Amino acid sequence: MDMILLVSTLIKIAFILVLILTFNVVLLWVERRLAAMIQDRIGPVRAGIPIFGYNLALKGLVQPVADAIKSLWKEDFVPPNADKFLHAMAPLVAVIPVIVAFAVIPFGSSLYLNHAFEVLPPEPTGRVIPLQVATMNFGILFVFAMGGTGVVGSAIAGYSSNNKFSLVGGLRAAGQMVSYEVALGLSLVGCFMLYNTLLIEDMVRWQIENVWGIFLQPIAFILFLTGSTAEMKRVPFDVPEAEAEIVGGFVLEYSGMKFAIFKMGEYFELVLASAVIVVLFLGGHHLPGLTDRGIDFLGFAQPLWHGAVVAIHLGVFLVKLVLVLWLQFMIRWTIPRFRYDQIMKLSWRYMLPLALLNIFVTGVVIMAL
Amino acid sequence: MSIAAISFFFVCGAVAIASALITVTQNNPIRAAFSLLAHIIALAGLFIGLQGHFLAVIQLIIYAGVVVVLFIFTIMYIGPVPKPESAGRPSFAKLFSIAGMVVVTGAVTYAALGYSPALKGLNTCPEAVAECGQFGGVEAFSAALFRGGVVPFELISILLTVAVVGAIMVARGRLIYREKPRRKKQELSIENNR
Amino acid sequence: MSPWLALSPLLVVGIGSLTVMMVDAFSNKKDDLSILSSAILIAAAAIAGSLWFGGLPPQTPEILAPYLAVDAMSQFFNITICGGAALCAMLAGGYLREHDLERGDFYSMLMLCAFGAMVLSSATDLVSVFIGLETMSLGVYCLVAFRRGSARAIEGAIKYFLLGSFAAAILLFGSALLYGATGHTDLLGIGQTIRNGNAELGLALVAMSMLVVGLAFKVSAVPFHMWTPDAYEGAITPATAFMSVVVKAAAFAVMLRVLITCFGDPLSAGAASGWPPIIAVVAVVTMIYGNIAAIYQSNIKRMLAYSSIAHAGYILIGVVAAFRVQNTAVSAVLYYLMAYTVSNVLAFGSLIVMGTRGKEAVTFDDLAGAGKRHPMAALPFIIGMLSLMGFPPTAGFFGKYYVFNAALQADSGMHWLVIIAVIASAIGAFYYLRVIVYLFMKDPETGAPQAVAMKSGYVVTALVLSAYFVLEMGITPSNYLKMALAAAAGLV
Repeated sequence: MDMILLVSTLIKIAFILVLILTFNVVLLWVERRLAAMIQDRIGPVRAGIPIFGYNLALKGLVQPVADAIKSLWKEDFVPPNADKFLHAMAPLVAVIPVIVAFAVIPFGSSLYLNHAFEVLPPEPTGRVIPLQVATMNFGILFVFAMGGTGVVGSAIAGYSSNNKFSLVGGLRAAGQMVSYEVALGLSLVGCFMLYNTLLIEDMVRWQIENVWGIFLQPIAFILFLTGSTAEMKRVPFDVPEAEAEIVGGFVLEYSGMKFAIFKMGEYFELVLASAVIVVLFLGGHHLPGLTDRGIDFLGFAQPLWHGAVVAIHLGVFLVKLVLVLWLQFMIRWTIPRFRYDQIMKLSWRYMLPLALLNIFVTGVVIMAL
Repeated sequence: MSIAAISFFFVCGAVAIASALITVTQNNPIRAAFSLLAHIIALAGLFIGLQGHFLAVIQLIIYAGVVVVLFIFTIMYIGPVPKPESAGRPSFAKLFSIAGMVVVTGAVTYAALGYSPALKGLNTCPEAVAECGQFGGVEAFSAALFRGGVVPFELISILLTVAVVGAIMVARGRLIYREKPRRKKQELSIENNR
Repeated sequence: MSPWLALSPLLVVGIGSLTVMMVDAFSNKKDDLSILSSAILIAAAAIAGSLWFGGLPPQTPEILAPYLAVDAMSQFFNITICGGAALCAMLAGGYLREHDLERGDFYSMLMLCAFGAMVLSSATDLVSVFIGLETMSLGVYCLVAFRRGSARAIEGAIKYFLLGSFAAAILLFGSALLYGATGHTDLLGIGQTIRNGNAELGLALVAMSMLVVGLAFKVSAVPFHMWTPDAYEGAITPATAFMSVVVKAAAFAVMLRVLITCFGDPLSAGAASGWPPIIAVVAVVTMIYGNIAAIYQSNIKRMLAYSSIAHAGYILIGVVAAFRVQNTAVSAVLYYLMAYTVSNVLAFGSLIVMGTRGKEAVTFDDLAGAGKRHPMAALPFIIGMLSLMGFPPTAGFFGKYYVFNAALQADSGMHWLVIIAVIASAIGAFYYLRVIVYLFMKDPETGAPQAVAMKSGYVVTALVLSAYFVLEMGITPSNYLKMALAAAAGLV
């Protein structure tokens, strides 16, 4: 293992960790503010940085930091008769796989180190650094594998808390997530057939060369959006923690940092699902009119340095990510919670047959063309 | 094999064995399921070491993501289990199963120690050969599944049909009896007559 | 030959079961599902027969070749299994209606089980062996649990399910070890590797004993028989009949294939082909235990369950003999299975006919005097019992005769096996004749429940058919033996 590979990999890992943690902080604030606006409230605006007796409020942007500090200092309460080991393991089991899953997400185009400060020649040479932590030959399946492992966390959290509400929450979470995993996995099979690969970077390349996936697989997009929302247990699929009936479900008996880890895991999942949507359906880092060698838009051509193009690509990816996250927030705060039977019915009666139909139609069309 | 690969193998193998032992000896069912999860992840690691990448991912998706969750679901659904008496002398069944375990492990180990001629028949893939990069990949796997093994693949669809129909059959039977309590009474009277 | 044609019996049964399911789901009139399913099964049997007699392909289509055999033996078992399943479907047609259990899924599940049994009996690869075994077993577990309201059905189903899953796991472990020992999953390849001396014999020995355990469970040989009486008693009678004939036939088919094709070479010697002594011991224990335990039963179904254990013991003698005189012994086993199929359907069918709703014959006491009250209904019972006992002009007699004969021819060391078997069948005569004694020579105690015969065209048809075959196989056994010999030749 040579030095450049090691260093670049470490930098990429650090970048992803910083990215998702920053997103976590910002998203928390954005979500609370957005919710407040939708509900005609004001939301958190006061928490700020005290400088020389003056409160630098920044519209409450530091509120999540205050929350985090509060979580750290709170008592870490473990209910009596709870299974202490599993109670402590559950948040980790829930959150670690999600972070690991980011390894296969390409967040930009490949960087040719030799050509960073010149226009990319037709035959680029030298070392390439893909903006992706790991290329594995099962690509997108890795995300599913990790997502699937994470399911255990919430189920175990529900069991180990020694609380009836938690138990019900854990049961609901397990049932719901297993059900939606089926529809979620099948919804993407149409995309695999279309792109003819499982590698995410090849999927992005296919979309750059042809057309964004959302235009060819709109049903898959909708199914995946719905399914991933259910998989994340977010509103309108949040029956596992429905505050009004089971008081928070499987997170009921968690406090302090463990609770914060659960909540962080939820946002990590949100970012992960949005990133998957971006790379699978929205062309990843692709911006129409921007090629590897510069701007080429409606006859207007302007060569750019390769390094600049890669930076723009990275920015494009992040902008798309933010847009999808915005969409997720809007869904979160507009639709009321479903009943549990409605959730099950939606998965097994509508989404699963629709996904199968999508696969069938895609197959027929591909065979016919 | 490089040192990294060998140490990876030993770490995964040790975790797999330890978690398997915990799974079968643990009294608390949910902890047993949890260590089963650890076992499955370690097994996936072993598969990766054997170039079976696709199999490793499938292992994680199906077993870790679905099967273990359903185990845990069932354990939670049934509810807390009274603790089996741990004191006292070990039961006959326990001794018997331990003896069986030792015998089988010993026999397999003994037989596998002199393992040479059979290796010729196996499709082993040394890492140096170029085509072996695809050995455990998606293409190789699906070619084996859909070209060579299409017959068993289709037979499995019938197996799944049996499972689905059977589950509905057993579950619906209860509903029918509940809807018509009169029938149940007569049913019982037949049994009680005996 | 195209693979579709070669697979046609399987396809007919598989598609037929889905058809039955759809008819059940979308039709208001559900009375005729019994006719429909037995017609489909008989059609499949007829197709298998015409495939066989119309000329089998010289070689199996390439895509099927490693997994499913299309040879005389597989067609023989297709006919036996489909015929047995069709008779059971007819029995169910009468039984379910009489006892107000009429639900269409019983028939589709029965046919799916028959599908699994057919796959199992023609499997030539450990993969398809396991798939066939699971398809059949899962279906049978559900058939046992069909009467959800009854505690006994649930008890039987749970016992069967747990033990059966355990046995399947052992079988699967054995298959994995066998793959490790030889590098093959197809039975022929395994056999060749062992014969060439390329296999790891120690590992193959462990694998072989695990496979024997898994298969012995399915044929309910002692000491893997614990589930049998409970499952037989808990299941509704047509399902019991199905379990005792179809499941047993398929399990013996796969046992013959695995043992003879994989481990059949006497020259490879020693360890890996050490199954004959194991099976011989199992056979002795099975015969003795089955027959003696059957004497102590007061419940007729439990008695028949132990009788089926005992019969498994007799058939195992034939399996042992197949090690030396392959053709004779295998044909004897095939003949025995066919005879056992019709005889057992006859026995269970007569038990069904001996009961209306609420007035079933469950114990021997219920049968007291029933022969006098319903002589026509008692007649098939007599024939069935005599055949199971092995009385001369019936199928059962020649079944036993051929099997014992094969054992005598095989090896002088097997004489003691035959002697024990004859003694065991003499013990068996006691409880079979007891049924007849109760039917005709006992009077019911006053106030005790009496069995009342039912009237059902379906059941009568099934009884007439099986009684016909029981008698014909007993009067002109050579025709059927020829068939069995031709089928046995198909086994390499």
